[in-house]
Amino acid sequence: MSKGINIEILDNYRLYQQVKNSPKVIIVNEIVLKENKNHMVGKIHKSDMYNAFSENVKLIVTKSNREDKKYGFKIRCTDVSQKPFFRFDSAGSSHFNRNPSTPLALAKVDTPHFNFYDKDGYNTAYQTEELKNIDNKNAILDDINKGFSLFCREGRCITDNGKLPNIIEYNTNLFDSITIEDPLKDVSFK
Amino acid sequence: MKDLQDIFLTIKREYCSLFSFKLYPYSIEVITPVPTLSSQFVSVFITKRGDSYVVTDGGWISDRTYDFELNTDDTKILELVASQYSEYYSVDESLQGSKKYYYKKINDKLLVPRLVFDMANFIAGVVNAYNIEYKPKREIIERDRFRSDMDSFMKEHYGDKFTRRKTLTEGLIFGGAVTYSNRIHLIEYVTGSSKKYFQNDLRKATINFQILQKSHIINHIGQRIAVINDSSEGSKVGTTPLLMNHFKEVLTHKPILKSNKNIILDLIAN
Repeated sequence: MSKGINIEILDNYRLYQQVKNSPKVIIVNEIVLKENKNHMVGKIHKSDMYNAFSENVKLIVTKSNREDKKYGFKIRCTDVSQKPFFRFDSAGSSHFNRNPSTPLALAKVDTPHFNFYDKDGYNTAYQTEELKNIDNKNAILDDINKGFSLFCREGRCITDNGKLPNIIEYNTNLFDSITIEDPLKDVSFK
Repeated sequence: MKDLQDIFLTIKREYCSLFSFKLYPYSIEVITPVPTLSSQFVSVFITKRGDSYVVTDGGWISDRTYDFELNTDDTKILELVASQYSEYYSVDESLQGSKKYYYKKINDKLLVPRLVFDMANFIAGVVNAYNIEYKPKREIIERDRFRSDMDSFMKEHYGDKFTRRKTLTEGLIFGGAVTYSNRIHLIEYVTGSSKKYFQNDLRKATINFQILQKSHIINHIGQRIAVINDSSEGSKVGTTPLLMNHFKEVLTHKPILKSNKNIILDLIAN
């Protein structure tokens, strides 16, 4: 733990900028979400992306089983950093922008938000105008494909035919597919 | 003095402005000004069950909404830390499927802020304990650098045939593996910034290969190689001949020094 700075990003800053600012081509025709066998309670999709500057760029899509509005998109390039360098989180915790030049009152960014690394290596969250508008925000939370379209625009992800792939859930467990609007609904506290 | 009083008022205003909330049909999420070492703000959820108010983490520790890297060696310590925090803050747990909810409950509405205060500090304490690396910084940096140097070397020569951190049967995890024409060649990395860490690595690698020898997949294993980080402090201090001899017995080739890693290319065809 070192002041919350990502050293890898600083070491590879030029490549980071190149990969982040250049188009990344999604190569799958559809994004199929499958049960995540690792620690996350939810579904996951991973696929390669084509990029002119690195051969190791991956798109990662995650979605909660219990809460339909909780999903995320990440772009990871292992040549830049083991941690994703760009991400979107629809729900979950608020981010603390640790760059010391940020006034405290502006340092907290609620979800939904985007995350990238700033020039000093700090993981930095922000909201676009679409996310600040309540109606737009709700439409994005209700539809993962809308969120994905915004993410692709913001993160420069494209496809060869100009059409973004649809996100499809592959349900192996009937009970996990039940939509629960309230995060605490059906949870018992003895 | 007026100037300093103004500073106090600004502090109070900015601190309080960090509070925000999100409403759900039956609960409210209170985003608190309590930060974590993962650069996130702690949220607590409040809901009503019968006559009582429940204040909970919403399952966020368990589903890893708060970021942390789990060092598997440390899981026992982490359980201890979490249980001590639970005890201090009198936090209960409710397991729903694979998701664990930490919570506190009370009937008196006036005391809900107390519970929110305790719950927020409990969450920050546990998440921060998970974020601490329980090893000296030098050890972490040296280990990461060695691993990443070896990974790039292997990747450069073996491309997609190389897998870093290969997991095999019985949960055995090896430093890396090259899968080539139906055979898996395994590599263990041995390093350490002190004698203790170096010997631990050596013992772990020895046991990994020993267990493997007893397993049914041994027939599919080709080379069993170990690379020693000869620039690490631990390797310079050395180890006991007994440990080293034992280690050599489980390998198909004597331990390779990192400065001499090209030997791998002769042992595993690419």
